[in-house]
Order: sequence, then structure tokens, then C-alpha cells
Amino acid sequence: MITRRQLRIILSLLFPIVLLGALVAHKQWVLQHGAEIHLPIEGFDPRDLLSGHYLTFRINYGKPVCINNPENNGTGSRLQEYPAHVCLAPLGFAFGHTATPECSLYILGTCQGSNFRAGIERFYIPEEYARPLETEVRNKKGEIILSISASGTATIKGLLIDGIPWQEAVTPQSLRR
Amino acid sequence: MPGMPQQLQEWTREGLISPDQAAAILSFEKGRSKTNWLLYSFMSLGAGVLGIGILTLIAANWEQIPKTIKLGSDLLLMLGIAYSIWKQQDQDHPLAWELLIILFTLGCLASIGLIGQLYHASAGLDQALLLWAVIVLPIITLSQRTLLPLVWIWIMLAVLSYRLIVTPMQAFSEEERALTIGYSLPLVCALAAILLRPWSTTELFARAFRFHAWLIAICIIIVTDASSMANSQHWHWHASTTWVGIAWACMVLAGIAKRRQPSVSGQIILSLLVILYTATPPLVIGLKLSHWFSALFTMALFALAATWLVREGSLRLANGLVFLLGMRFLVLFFTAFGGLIDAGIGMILSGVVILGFVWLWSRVQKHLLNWMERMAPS
Repeated sequence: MITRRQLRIILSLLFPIVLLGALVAHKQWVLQHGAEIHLPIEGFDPRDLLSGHYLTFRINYGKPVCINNPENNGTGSRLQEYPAHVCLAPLGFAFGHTATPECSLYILGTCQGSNFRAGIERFYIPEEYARPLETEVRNKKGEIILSISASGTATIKGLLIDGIPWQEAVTPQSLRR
Repeated sequence: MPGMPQQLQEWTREGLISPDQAAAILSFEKGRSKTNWLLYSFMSLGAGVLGIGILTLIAANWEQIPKTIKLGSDLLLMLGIAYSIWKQQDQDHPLAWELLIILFTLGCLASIGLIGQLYHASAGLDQALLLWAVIVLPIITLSQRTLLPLVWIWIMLAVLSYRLIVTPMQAFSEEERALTIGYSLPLVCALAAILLRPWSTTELFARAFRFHAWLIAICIIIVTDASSMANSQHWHWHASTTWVGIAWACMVLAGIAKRRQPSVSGQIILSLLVILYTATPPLVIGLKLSHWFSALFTMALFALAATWLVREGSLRLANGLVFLLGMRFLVLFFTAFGGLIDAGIGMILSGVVILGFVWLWSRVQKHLLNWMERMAPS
């Protein structure tokens, strides 16, 4: 018979594992069942102390975003995050997380200064591909493939350079030893 | 074993064992020690080299490893650590228990990083840490030491404070939010410590909250005092910030009054501390008081806090506060008198006054505290 303490230990150990498993399942579900779209990107390459190397970019949604915020008359700092969403069909932008009924596909995010952030502005890459990819993205040849759920959550599916997958488009740069 | 020959000699002298037995024990231990040392050294070397080799191979071929293998390995590793914790549940080895819990919490953080990398998630560090804090809270409550609760609370306070500052609110500007949060944090931590103390499960968290309350309060007072000495002060203190602080302080005072411990005199000292802390930033920053008044408030707070900490047995922190008090005293004198001679004479006189006060206090303290105890309602 399991004691109360033993039950507590079991639940405490399973809780994070189950929750992280659910997170992975959710991400995978969005990847497989979400609406797929391609959007052009431009960006630069810093180093993430926690998770290795990544490409940070801005997505070109085809419309100006994070402008004319009714809650911020220009006196707020760039640190503050305002809820916002980008409508992809039809194309549009608005503050707040409530999309209009006419908007059939949207991405939820926040505006920080003039930047719209939806958790999809970073792509992890091997170190040897960093510089070549950065160059191509700076030359505006980059395109991001997104999978978007009905609730507005977007997940990155892939990265294209000139319309072809990044692994085929660039050659790795030899690292100095 | 070090010291064994001497130990055996002493036992032989006392007649506990015979000389032959002592020689036999010594011979046995010598042979075993050598063998064990060699064995463990080579085992550690082999395990270390193997482990580093595996990690290097993984790192070199990281991109070629499929997502499912990475996630599956992570899951197996976490389940392995969880199983090890389960096997240690009788806590025959408390250190192993603590180390495994730390390893598990670090594993959760690494898993969040791995998922973020695999799915290219660019959520902020604060969101990742918030997720980590939520999922590891149950396992941290099983820890028997204060380290993990201390780290957990520090991370939660930092993340929640950041979130509150960056989330726009109609009634509060960003500066107002930052000042209010900094000012209220020690009071919030103190209240949390009071509320969590009664239960054994949360006692470590109560201790950790108490530590943070002290640490943040000392920092806030130093920053407040320093701001009074700056030529220009850029902060705008709002009345709403003061009211928020007063609200938290009232809750803390109510909590102090409801507690059976400490004694009445202890409750009075604690209450005075809370009131003095709550009053200092609004008066010094809000009313833009000169550094003279700020020094007075700061030194009174530090002296009172040191008194309380000595009562509680936290002598190191008390000594630290007395040191800070002395430093503030020095700064005050050099600011006041400017020259070394004048400052020196002033400090000699002040030192005499302080020593006189301490002598007087040692005489009347017992009578004063007895009087306070008699006056307190039963």
C-alpha cells in the first residue's frame, strides 16, 4: 500500500514530466495540423547563452505592425509589452488578442516598441552554418515556414533560402580550430 | 583510514584488543585501502572519459540526431533521475536525496531549453523560468534544505517583478510600477514568511522568504539613502505607491500581532521595523528630504534591525548591519564636517555618546523589557 508521502513523491516527479510531455505534444500537433504559410524574413545572428546558436529575424507580414498604439501615446518605454495580433487573411494588424470575425487566420503576439513578437523570431542553427545563413538572410533571401493553429499559436516548421530548404541552400563554413 | 595506527595503539594500551589483533587489523586495512583506492581511481577515470566521449559525440552529431531520439533520450534521463529519487525516499543518504532533487530540477530546465531549441521557440527567458518554477515547485517542497527554496523564490520574484513592470497598466506608469514593486517586495516576502510558517511542509519556504525580505529591504534602504545624496533625483514618488506599501505593511503587522512568538518585546521591535521601513522611502524620495534625515532613518533602521537579528541569533547578518551602520556614520561625518580634524573630533564625541548609550542600555534593558512584558495583554 502506498503511503501519503510516497504518493506525494510520485506526483511531484510525474508532474513536470507529464507537463513537458504535454507541451511537446501540443507543439507537435500545431506543426502537423496547423495552417502552413510562408513569410519573408530579415535578421541578424547573436548567440544564445542557454540554447546554443540561433538566427534572430524580423518577419515581414506585408503590413506595418505595432504602430498607433491607443494605450501608448509615445511616452511608454520599449520594455513594455502590449498584446496584439496580425491577421493574415485578410491582411491586417490590431492591438489586443481578440480577432475580428472576418479574420480567418491570425497570429497572437505582443508589441515591444515597434517589434511584433509571437515567439517565432528565432531559428536554431548549427554553428558552421551561422555565417552563411546570416548573409543570405541579410540579403533578404530568407523565408520562414510557419504552422498556425486555430487559436493563433504559431510554430516554426522550416527555413527556406531562395525557396529551397536551408540545409541544401548553404554550405557549412569550416570552423577555425 | 587516517589515524588508525594511533587509534589501535590506544585500544591496545587500554586492553580492548590484543597486540596481535591490532597487527592483524592494520594489515587487513592496508591491503584493502590500496586496492579500493586504485579501483575507485581507475573507475572514476574510466567513467569520466567515457562520459566526456559520449557527450562529445553527441555534440558533434547533434544536428544529425533525429528529434524523436533527442526527446526520447531526455525523457529516459528524467525518468532515470526520478527513479533514483524514488529509491532514495527512505533518506538513508540525505545528501544523495538533495543532490538528486537538484539534478532533477536542473534536468527540467535543460528539457525546457531542449524543447525550445527543437521547436525554435523564442519565448523570453522570463517565460521559460516561470514555466520551470511552476513545474518544479512540488519536487522542491520535498527538499530538506533551504538552498532550492531560496533559488526558487529568487527566480519567481525576479520573473514576476519583470512581468509586472513590462505589462502595461492604465492606472500605473512603468516608473510607478517599478518603484512600487521594489518598495513592496520586502513586505510581500515578510507576509509570505508569516503565512507559510505554521506548516512543516512550507517551513523552508518561510525561512527563504524571510531571508529575501531582509536582503531586499536592506538593498532598498541603501538605494533610498544613496538617492538622497545624489545631487538630482530623477524618481517621481507617487501617492499610490505609498498606499500600496501601507496596505502591505498593515497585513504584515496584523500577521505579527497574531503570532504567539516572538515575545511582546520582539513583536514591538518587529513592528517598529516594519513601520520605519514603510515610512522611509516615501519620506526620503517622495518629500525629497535631505541626506541628513535620510541618514537618520537609515541608521535607525539598521540599529533596530541589528537588535532584532541578535535576538534571533542571526549574528552574521547583525554584524553586517552594524558594519553598514558604521559606514553610514562615517559618510555622514565626512559630509558634515568636510575636514579630517573636525570629522575626527566629531567622531570621538559620537563614539563616546554611543558607548555611553550602550552602557546605559545594558543597565536599563532588563527592567524596560520586564515592564513591557507586564504591560502586554495576556
